Amino acid sequence: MNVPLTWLSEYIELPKDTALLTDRLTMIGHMLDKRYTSPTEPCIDLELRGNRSDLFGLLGIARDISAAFQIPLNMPPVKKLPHEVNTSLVRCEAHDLVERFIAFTLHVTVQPSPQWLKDRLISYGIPSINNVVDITNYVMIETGEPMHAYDFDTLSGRHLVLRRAKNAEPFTTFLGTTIALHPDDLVIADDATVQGTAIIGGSQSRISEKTTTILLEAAVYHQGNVRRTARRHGIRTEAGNRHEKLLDSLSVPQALERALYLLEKFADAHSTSGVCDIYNKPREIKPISVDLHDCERLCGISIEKEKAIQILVSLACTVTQDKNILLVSPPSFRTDITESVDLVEEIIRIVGYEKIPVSSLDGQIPTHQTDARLIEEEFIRNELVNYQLDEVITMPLVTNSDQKDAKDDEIKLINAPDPTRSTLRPSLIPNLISYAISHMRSGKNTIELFEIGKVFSQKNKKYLEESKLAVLVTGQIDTKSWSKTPRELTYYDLKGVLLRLTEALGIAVTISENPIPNTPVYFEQASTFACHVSDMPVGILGKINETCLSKLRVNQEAFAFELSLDTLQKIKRVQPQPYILTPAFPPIIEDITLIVPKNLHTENLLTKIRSTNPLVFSVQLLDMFESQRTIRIVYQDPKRTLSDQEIKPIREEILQMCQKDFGAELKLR
Amino acid sequence: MEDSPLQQIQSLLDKLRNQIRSSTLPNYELEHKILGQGSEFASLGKQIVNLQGSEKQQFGIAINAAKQELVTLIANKNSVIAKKAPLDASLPPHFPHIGHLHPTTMVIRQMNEIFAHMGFSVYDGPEIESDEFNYNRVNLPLDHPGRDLQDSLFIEEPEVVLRTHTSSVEARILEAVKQKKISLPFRYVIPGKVYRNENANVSNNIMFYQYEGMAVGQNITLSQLKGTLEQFVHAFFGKDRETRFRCKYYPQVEPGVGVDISCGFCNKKGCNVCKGRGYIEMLGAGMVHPNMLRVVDIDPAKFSGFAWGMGLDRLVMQRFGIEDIRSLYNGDIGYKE
Repeated sequence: MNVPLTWLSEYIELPKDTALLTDRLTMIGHMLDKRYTSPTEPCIDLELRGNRSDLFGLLGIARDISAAFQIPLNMPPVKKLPHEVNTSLVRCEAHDLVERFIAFTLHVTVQPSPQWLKDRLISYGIPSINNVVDITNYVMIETGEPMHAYDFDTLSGRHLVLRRAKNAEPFTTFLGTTIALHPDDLVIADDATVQGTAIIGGSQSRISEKTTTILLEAAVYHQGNVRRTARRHGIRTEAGNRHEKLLDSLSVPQALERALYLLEKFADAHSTSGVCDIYNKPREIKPISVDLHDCERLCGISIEKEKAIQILVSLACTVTQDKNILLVSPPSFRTDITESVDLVEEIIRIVGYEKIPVSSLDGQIPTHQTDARLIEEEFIRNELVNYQLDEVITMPLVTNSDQKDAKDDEIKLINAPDPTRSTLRPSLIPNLISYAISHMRSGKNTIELFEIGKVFSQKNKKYLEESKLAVLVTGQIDTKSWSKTPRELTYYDLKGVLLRLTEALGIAVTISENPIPNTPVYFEQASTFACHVSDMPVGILGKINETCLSKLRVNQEAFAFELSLDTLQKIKRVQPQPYILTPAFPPIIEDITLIVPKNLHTENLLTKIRSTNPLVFSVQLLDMFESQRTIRIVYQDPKRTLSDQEIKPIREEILQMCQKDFGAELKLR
Repeated sequence: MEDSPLQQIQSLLDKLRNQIRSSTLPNYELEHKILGQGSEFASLGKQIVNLQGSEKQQFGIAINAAKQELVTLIANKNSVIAKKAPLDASLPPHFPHIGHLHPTTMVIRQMNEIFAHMGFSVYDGPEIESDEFNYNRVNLPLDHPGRDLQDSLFIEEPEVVLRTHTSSVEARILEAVKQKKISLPFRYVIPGKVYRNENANVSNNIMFYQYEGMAVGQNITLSQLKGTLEQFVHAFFGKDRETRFRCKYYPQVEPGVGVDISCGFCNKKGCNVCKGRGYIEMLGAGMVHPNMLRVVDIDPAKFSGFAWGMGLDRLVMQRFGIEDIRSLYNGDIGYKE
């Protein structure tokens, strides 16, 4: 809020050094946003707390300065309202939306405001209209209580009705715009039309040079309802901003008294009716008991009783004592103070947070552990980075599927910024594909991405989220070197990542021999496989749907897998054993080339060869060409050097097994 | 007629010289072949036992000289083989190809480690939240003006939202205490994604990260909050940065604290970066509001706690020189090759 300093100094003598003032204000809860100079006086812009309605008036700020600097306040002069009671001026038909409404009429002379008044309003940032309107704004800025004046002679029925608007009821604001109201909007109307709302006044009853009698009102409304109305119509005003906060209904008469004083002085006003005060449930201020020990218990600083009382009194509280308990009644304008801890904050902030000592948490360190799934996610990140993959974090929304493809387990946002992308992602794969494509378009050759994140679905109105890992590879590797040969990233690279990772996690994953029949969206038919641990499905891996890519004008193969990390948490782990003793004796290495039948399961063949004899140390597929497989078999004994004679029978056994179990024959030269 | 022993040395020496010259074997193998056990030279040397007197002496001298020559020839030969073209050190290197963690992960890990030293474990909660846990339980009842600052993305209005802050996880932790799944005292940090209905631009995105922390138990004070956060600021930003704790309002805490750190550019003098203030707002904090404790049957007269929360993305962007928040999550970030 803008605070013109010369105006403010009318209520309290300010420290000569403005920096001293703003530093202290910042520390007690009102941070200095900036300093500037209006045409007539220096100003400061303060960031004010949203829960203190009293601060949105200069007197509220002056009160805090008074408490912080121990300087007395100069309250401005007021004029008492008429004693007579009027019951017909205003009728309320929405008591749930109106906490208090006070109105009375006055005869006025409408003229331009005196120059000092105009200057002050402009310093604050509001234009000057005429003396009556200006005074309502002036009092609002001074006290924090909005108020409004209506040209009484334009009011049909010579009274006001407080009611809800009719559906689409039109209302023209004093700015000239017409809005269609909503049945939840509170309106201030006469017998014919809506004349105003809590947020903004109407054009028909606005004060002009022709006005001779005004109806002046000030009110406190249901702040939630005002907030909804303001957001619904997108209208933000000084009055509306204040009405959205918890205003003090007990302070309304004083604000009107101040307005009456100024109107008498500068608009030649005198009241022409009794006061109509609609106040169904007057506020009660209940005293709050404060245990001063709480300053020590909560804040770690001990405050002397006398000091605490002095601070509370300087904040306009009334205090009585009962041993070490203080019974504190906050002033009515502090609608934010409702319990003991609010008062502890008041005491501590005036003492100054900088006085609170600095100490460390002590006592027992809690035995809580980070959830195993979170620890595992970090482990997975480390592993995948070791495998040369890059981590990405993608957005949670995906393009909505076409009507015909839409599934009933998808979750859609009601108010997504882009209505065509309002589906919460059911899989990490689509966004990985988008990222990969944008990297491809920028000329990147090697794309190896992974993401750990949540995916979303629903079942019977129950919203579910699941933590998943997805990996996508496409492109080539070894492209950036003057002495290496590039090669394509393939399904086999992806499979290697999956199996090496799960091995490191202590999980034995099996990949289905046959492609899965119901290929999920994004994946390619007949090239997508299921991953299981024993019977438990844990994920899928395969080739990305070619049509999906070619639609995006990409002509490259991509491969991906997605695993459920939540499911993996349920699986019992086996400690991985990556270490062996280096054999001390040289191996015998033999390469054999086999001619294999069409449907050979190569991995099964290699596994079977490996298990033929304990002296078979390793078996690798060395080369593959059409129906040929060249296999390197390494024979080794950790305790001695092997001889050819020992190997011969094992080799024979292997070849026989290949022929018998797999139909694979040794290639003849 | 048979050659004399000395003549035999000479002719074998010739033969072996040729062998050495034309051999392609490596040094140790060649030496073994020419001079080692079972070689012609070794056999010839053994003949010394058949000689006597001055013949033996001469033979001995000649065989040793021959051996020296052969050893030298072999050594020199391999230094000739070894002399390839000299290194061209001006060629660029082969960099090891590495993968990368996302910049946000790097910052979260560093922060987790700093707080782990102070006994904090890590917690996470659901991203789809109820109105109850996202708002009511953190002291933001319906119609509270504070709700305005957080435009929600709704799945069902107003009941089901994407969480707008990590404070909802604070409420989940407290509920877990009520359900006896977590016991007091506890200390948790909560790094997490949050979602708001924002117009995405250079500094705002509908999805971003926050870093929250909470410690609840007995005798936990604002003084300890100051110490904990000061330790964090020094470890994360550097020992030369100062902290300022001032009164600030947040619905979830009372007393509430705004924590600023001294501007790294001008050291509190005031500059463009800190908008002349000398300090930069870093995070919000305070003592957990008693309402949050009461709603889970924790007696605020016996127990207390502090909490803090900060936006993470601005720090990530500053640390890594990224200017547009959207690029963190839309695939624009690449890695230098």
